Parts: sequence; structure tokens; C-alpha cells
Amino acid sequence: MDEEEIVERLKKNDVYAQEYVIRKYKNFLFNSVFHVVQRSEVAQDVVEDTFIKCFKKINQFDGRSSLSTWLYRIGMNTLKNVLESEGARSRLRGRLKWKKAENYSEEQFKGNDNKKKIIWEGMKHITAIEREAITLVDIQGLNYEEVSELLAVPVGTVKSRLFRAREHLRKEILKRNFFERELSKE
Amino acid sequence: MKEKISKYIDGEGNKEEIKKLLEKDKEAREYYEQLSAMKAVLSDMKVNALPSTEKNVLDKVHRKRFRVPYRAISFAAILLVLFLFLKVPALKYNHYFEFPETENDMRTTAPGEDELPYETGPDKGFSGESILSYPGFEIMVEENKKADVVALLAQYGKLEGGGENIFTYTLNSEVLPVILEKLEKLYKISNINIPEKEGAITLTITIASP
Repeated sequence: MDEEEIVERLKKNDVYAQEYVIRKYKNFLFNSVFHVVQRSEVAQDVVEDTFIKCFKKINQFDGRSSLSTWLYRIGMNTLKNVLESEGARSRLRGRLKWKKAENYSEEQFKGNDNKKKIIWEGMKHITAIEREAITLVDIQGLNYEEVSELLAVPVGTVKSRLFRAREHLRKEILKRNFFERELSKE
Repeated sequence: MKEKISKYIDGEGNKEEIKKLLEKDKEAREYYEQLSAMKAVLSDMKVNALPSTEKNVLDKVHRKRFRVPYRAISFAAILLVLFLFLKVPALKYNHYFEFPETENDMRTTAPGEDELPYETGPDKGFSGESILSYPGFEIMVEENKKADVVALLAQYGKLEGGGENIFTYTLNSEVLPVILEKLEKLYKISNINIPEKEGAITLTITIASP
């Protein structure tokens, strides 16, 4: 099935096309959201809401971007709305900060890996925009052009944003002796 | 230098230039090794969404929705409340008309001689409106029988008012059956429901034009 056919079938509310799209993009979306927000429950809810919005608004999809880009943008807007409403609720309760990120979960990352744990802790200390850049390039393995399309920014911006993000993360994990462990293992 | 190395580990930039740099510059090499190690761990940090994602989404998308018409229900409830407030007290008095007095009736004192029975409603939340427990009733009589009927009623009742062709009499209900029987026999007036209660009653005679 090419993308055009998928979109046509989605517009007809075809359940098989919907299932196909969910299977194809759910992990991509989940990783994108999860590593930015660092909370699995929120990420799962955002992913499900993203697909529901996508299927409801598929008639608004004009094909100017790819379906994955469209989904990604819906996902990130949904996440933004969730965090904003959560922030508003927190402010009402007199708390100024959003909920903290989850602790490192061995179950989530399949194995007790100290290096992953250090990276996870380091990611908590960089900005959401930096986490997004690292997630798309280093975790998801996308190239600069793909990230540029997803974020709707020039390739040069992607490169500089990624460089700053990596520098920031490198310093954070350096504080936690990530590279010493790395060398001692080798 | 660092920015170039950052691009290099993504397979971008001038590779020959960076290779030479890494061979010559220890600091550059160390930086490259750190970024490579970091990227290697990051690339292994993919996680999966829940296997139930498809089911959860499709259930929500294809769930049958029963929309509850909250506005219509609210409006109907308001109408019902209004109806109950406005209509039920009236029904309470209707009930009072339809059924004979009982020992448990709210009225505790007997009506006076010159008083219509139950001029005020039962003492249950409403007052201020005089209610006759015996409604008056009307009889239509032909013009040529006017004199006889008026004479008959003058014997038993008291003329309260009226005009040329309408006369209103107050009668004692005890004599009412006698009057009605005569009216029925003489003038074929029938289908008159005689009130069961005792007391004064208003009878209006309307004289029909020939």
C-alpha cells in the first residue's frame, strides 16, 4: 500500500488501513513523545490521542507533507496541550513545576544498563527542544533532512540545535562518570 | 571543530578532513569517541508503545456513541417542575370538589347561615382566593316559559341579581331537587346533576330568545 492509497482508505474510515497506520507509526510516535516528556503513561495517551485525531481529521490532510510528518506534528501539539493543561492545573494547586520525569525503568529499556540509566538522567537536565533533536537523530536514526521536515525548520537549524543538545548532554553525562565507566569496561 | 565532529558522526561533512583531524588532534579524537559512545547508547534506547495501542485506538474510533440530550432533558425537567408547582395545588382543590367531606377534612368549623360553605380553601399552603365548594349551575329556559320559571324560583329562592334575560338565584340545596323535578316535568329540562352536598347554591336561569 502506498501512502496515497492509505490516505484514501483512511478517508473512507477503513479499519484495516487504520490498523496498518497504527502498527506502522506507533513506535515512532511513542519514542518521539516518550523521550521528550520522559513519562511513559503520558506518552501512551498522547500516541493514542494522536491516532484518534488523525483518523477524525484525515479529510484535512492535504498531502503537502508525508503522513508521518503530519502525525508527528499532531503528536507534538497534543503533548504540548497536555503539558500546558497539566501546568495550569499545577499552578492552580499552587505548584509551579510540572510533574517530574519518571525514574529509569529497567523494564522499559529491557535490562539493567548503567549507561542507559546515566543517559536517561542526563536527558532530564537538558531542554525539551534539545531532547527532541537527540531523540529524532540519535534514537530514531533520522537524517537531518527528515528532521528538518518534521520540525519545519531549516537543515542548518537542525544541525546547530543537535550540536548544542549533544554538547549539553555530553556535559551532563560527563558529570555522572559515563565515559569513565565506558573506558573501564573497554 | 566540535560541530564538525558532531556532523561527522552522523555521516555528514568533509569526511577526509575529519579523519585527518582525528589522527592528529588527541582532544578531537577524545571528543569524537565520547560522542560516538553516547550515540551508541542512545541508538539502543528505543522503546515500544503498548501492544494494546491498536485495540485502544480502534475501540475509541469505532465506538458507538449514544449522545444524551442533556439540554432537552434539563428543559423537560424544568417544565415538569413548573407543571407540578402550578397544577398540583389546583388538582388538590379539584379533589376537594369531587369527594364528599370526611371526618378528617381540614375544615373544623361549620359554615354560618349566610355563608357559602368552604369559602376559603383548605389550609394547605394556599389562601387568599375564595373558592366555592358548590359551583353554581345554569339552566336555559325558553322565552315563553320565562314567567312560570321565575315565579317558581321566587317561591323557593332569593333573586341575587341579573338582567333582562339572566336571573341568578340563591337556593337552598334541600329544595333544589323539588325545583328541578318541576322544571323537568313542566319544561322537559333534564340531565341536571344535583349536587350531593347541602347548603346554598347558585342557579342561573338564562332565557333563550324565541
